[in-house]
Amino acid sequence: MQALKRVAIIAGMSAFRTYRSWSDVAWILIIPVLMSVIIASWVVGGETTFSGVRMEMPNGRDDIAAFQQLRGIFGIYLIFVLSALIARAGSIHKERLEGQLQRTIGLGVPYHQIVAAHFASVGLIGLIQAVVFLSVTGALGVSWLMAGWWPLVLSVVGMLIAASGLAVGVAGLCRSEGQIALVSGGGPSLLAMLGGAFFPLDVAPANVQRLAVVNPIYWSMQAMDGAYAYQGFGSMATPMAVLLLFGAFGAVIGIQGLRRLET
Amino acid sequence: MRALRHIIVIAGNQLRRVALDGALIWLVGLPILIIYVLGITLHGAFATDFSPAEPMRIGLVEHESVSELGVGDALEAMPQFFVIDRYYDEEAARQAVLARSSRAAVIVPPEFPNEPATVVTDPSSLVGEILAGVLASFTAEGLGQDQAFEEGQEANPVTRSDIVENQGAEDVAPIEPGSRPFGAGAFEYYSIAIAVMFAMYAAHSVTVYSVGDRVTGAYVRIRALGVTRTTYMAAGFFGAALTGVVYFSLMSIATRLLFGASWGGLADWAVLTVVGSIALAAVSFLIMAVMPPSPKGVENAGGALITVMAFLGGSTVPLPVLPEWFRASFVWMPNRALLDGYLALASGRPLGELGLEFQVMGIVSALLVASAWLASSVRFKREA
Repeated sequence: MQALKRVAIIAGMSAFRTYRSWSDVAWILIIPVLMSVIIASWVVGGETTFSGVRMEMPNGRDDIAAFQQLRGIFGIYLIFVLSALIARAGSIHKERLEGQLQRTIGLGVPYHQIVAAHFASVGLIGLIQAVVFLSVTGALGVSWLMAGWWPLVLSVVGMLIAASGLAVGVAGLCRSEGQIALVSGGGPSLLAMLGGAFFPLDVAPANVQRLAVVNPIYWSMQAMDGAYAYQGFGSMATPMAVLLLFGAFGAVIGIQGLRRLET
Repeated sequence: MRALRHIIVIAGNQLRRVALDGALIWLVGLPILIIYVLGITLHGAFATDFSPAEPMRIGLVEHESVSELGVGDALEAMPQFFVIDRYYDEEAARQAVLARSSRAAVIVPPEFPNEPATVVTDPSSLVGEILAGVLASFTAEGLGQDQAFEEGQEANPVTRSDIVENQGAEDVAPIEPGSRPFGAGAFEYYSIAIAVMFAMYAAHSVTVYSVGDRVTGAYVRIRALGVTRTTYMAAGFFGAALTGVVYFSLMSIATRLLFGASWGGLADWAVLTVVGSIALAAVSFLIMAVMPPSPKGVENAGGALITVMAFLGGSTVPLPVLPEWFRASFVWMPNRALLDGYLALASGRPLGELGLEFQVMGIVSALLVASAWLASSVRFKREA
């Protein structure tokens, strides 16, 4: 119980420090919302219609423009959740350089609890980001609830688990903040473009399309498509399972990698 | 003369610091990787002879009474795009899409084209747009009977005989989504667009170093050696512009060699590069002037602004796929003007035709530098 309390306090303080910093708030919340507003206006303003043709989604819905707007904004969200969580996961290296990590261990906190707290703080930061982002963009008119609450919650939670795991994995593999900044800056945008978040993968060569199966953003978009355009839960099962696997895989790599910091 | 020497030495030193601070990886390696990935991925979309990697399986429900229109024949005439399964039951075709065994279902009603055809598909895929394009070519508007449409379908309905008479199946032109006038290939477009984006980051790095000098005390020491504030600020601005020029030189050579990207003739390119680099440096200059003197704060503010500017300026999402109103809204941005300028040179237009781009970069640079100068003069008044 004591350990759990300790983990919760460290994770909570870490999340608090993040959202107290204006530059972090700008990156985690303000810029994604701003970009979403632009995307939203672009999708609505640029909606193309064909005379004599009625478009319909596989599940029979015909609110195509609302779905496309939602999808584009979800793509923006995915980039920023991955970017923010990878950057935050890298803070353990900064703490080590500044001696904070060593001081915490010196005070008798077991190392595995610090890693657990670190993992929890990444998830917590992602959760706060998701709630604020979805609320603000929803208030601005994005129809997040067009298929109900659960498809949205599951799509977001799936990506949060995958992103948290991968973020810890990257922190375990990289040795410095600089390396992590490089990965968090360029990686998510590339993954989004290769995962079909902004343009259909149909335009890509066959090998690039095949490569998408090892891309968490691709599976997250599949979960979103399944929830809103196909059969809901039934179509979300496979993407959700793959996202959970990404999360678990990343966490294992990360925990193994972060162990080396202890020695 | 002495001030000029100071400016050159300080700017050269700033450039050296950028070069030694991992620039080869994050300013050259990363963008080349991005250009490669985007070039490979979007090569088909930029090409005039686009066809998907594999034909897409679609279901067609075509009522007998409209089969003479030739919708099915038109689709079958595009074997590189579609593999067609014919259904007699509309529900079966829909179920195949829902089960993802078919990419789309095309349902042509008996009253088509007076009643709309239905395309059932995942809106995030390309297949719906291609099919809608084919079907739209069978409607009155597609046949150029706009006037009849405007006057109302009841007054002058389109009949099947009109369609057959005007456009048999063999005359239906296949839709080529890549035939839009992109003006440049994917590799060429992204070589230029990504270089413009990262040139902003490169120029901004110099600005961050200049701010860092204030925090570390290097600035005070330089001032004590007789360098005026004006000279130091001018050196920072000149250093950022110089970094831009060097960066564009490096990227144009690298992308020419790796991806065969064209950047236009050398003389035209040089003029545009110098003017564009000054314009990009002016953006960072203003950020430095208005932000509190914290390297981290200036770096983050610049990073955020550059990300948004790159997005609006066509560096991430290609300009030709953006709606016209959206493109027109941001022509005043210096990075957009520079991108337009480079794309124009790459397509063979002479420098003389880039009047608008030069005007934008000139006016915006002047405004930004003047504002920055004013802001920093007020802030550092006590220094004098």
